[in-house]
Amino acid sequence: MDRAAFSDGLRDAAPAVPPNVPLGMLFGATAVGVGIDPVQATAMSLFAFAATAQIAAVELLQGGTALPVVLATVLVINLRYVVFSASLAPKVDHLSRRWRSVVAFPLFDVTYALAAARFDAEDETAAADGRDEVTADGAGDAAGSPSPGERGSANEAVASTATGGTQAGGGHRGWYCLGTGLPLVATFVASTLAGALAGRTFGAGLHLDFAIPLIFLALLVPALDGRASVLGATVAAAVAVGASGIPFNAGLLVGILAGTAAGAFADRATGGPQ
Amino acid sequence: MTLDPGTIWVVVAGVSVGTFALRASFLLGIDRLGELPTAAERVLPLVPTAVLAALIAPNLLVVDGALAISLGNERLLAGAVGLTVAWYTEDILATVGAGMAALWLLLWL
Repeated sequence: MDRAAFSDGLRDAAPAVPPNVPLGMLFGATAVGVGIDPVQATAMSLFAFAATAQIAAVELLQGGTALPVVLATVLVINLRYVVFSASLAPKVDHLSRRWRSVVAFPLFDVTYALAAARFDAEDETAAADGRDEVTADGAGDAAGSPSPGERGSANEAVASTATGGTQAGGGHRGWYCLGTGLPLVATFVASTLAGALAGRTFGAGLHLDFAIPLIFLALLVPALDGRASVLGATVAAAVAVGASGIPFNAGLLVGILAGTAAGAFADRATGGPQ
Repeated sequence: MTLDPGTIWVVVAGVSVGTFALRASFLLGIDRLGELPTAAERVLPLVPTAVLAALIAPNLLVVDGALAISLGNERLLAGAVGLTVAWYTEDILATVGAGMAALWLLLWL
């Protein structure tokens, strides 16, 4: 076990844990509000670990949406995970398939950003020192890791090379990802259960379902950073409203696609990401 | 479509497997998938904002199948409160708290 990388992961993920709690609780409460039982809600959080998509699925199910549309919508919502996957893959291709699965499972905005930042920094340092990125027999230099003074742990990490997971100077990337993913998944699952149980006891008549668009607003506003995203959001909103009457509740999907297309168009028109 | 337990478990399974497949796409399939096209790289990150907006708007603006942009639509007004709080605080709890409080107040009045 690469304790240093693992605890680095825990430490780096810590600030992201508190916001996860209300998200989980609200998913749990609203899921129960539409008739899903706490066990199922908790299972969904455990196996899917995708808050926005889960909440959208619950909303769609409440509206009587057909399963294929629910699934298609969930997949479209989570499509950005493909970008994260593609970006991270070259940085961890030295890991075993099992470890890469560990990296993949809790992959979302936070775990991706943490992993990418750390691995990119390590690779840059390694390149600057004129070394290969991946050195199976490792070098003792811990300069690439956030804690440069920990030579001891870097050697420890090198010693665990037998598992083939060590990058020079940074520690085991798989353990780092486990360190970031574990607290986030655990708290999300626990808060889902808590929210589901509380929602079942207290939720009736409180219009808890209104918390859904409110959460989404809280998530949307910080994400509006530039003309393309604002245009995309506006078009998506307008189209989703206009298409709200179409069968199979596919209006949501149409709105998402239209908004993404509009944003992409604006993105190209201005010659690049804003 | 009724929400019977069987249906829910199908949803749980589908969402879980599908989402993991997306996450694992390049991480496990890297040998076969090559690289992500630049166009995809630029377009896919635009999806989240479109998704959120498409989820929010009908929820607040469409009541019983009809567009309801009026002062009588409590959800719209409470949503506006939520939006304002979100703008200034960017905090989930504050936004939800303020918006829910606004809704309860408007429904009670």
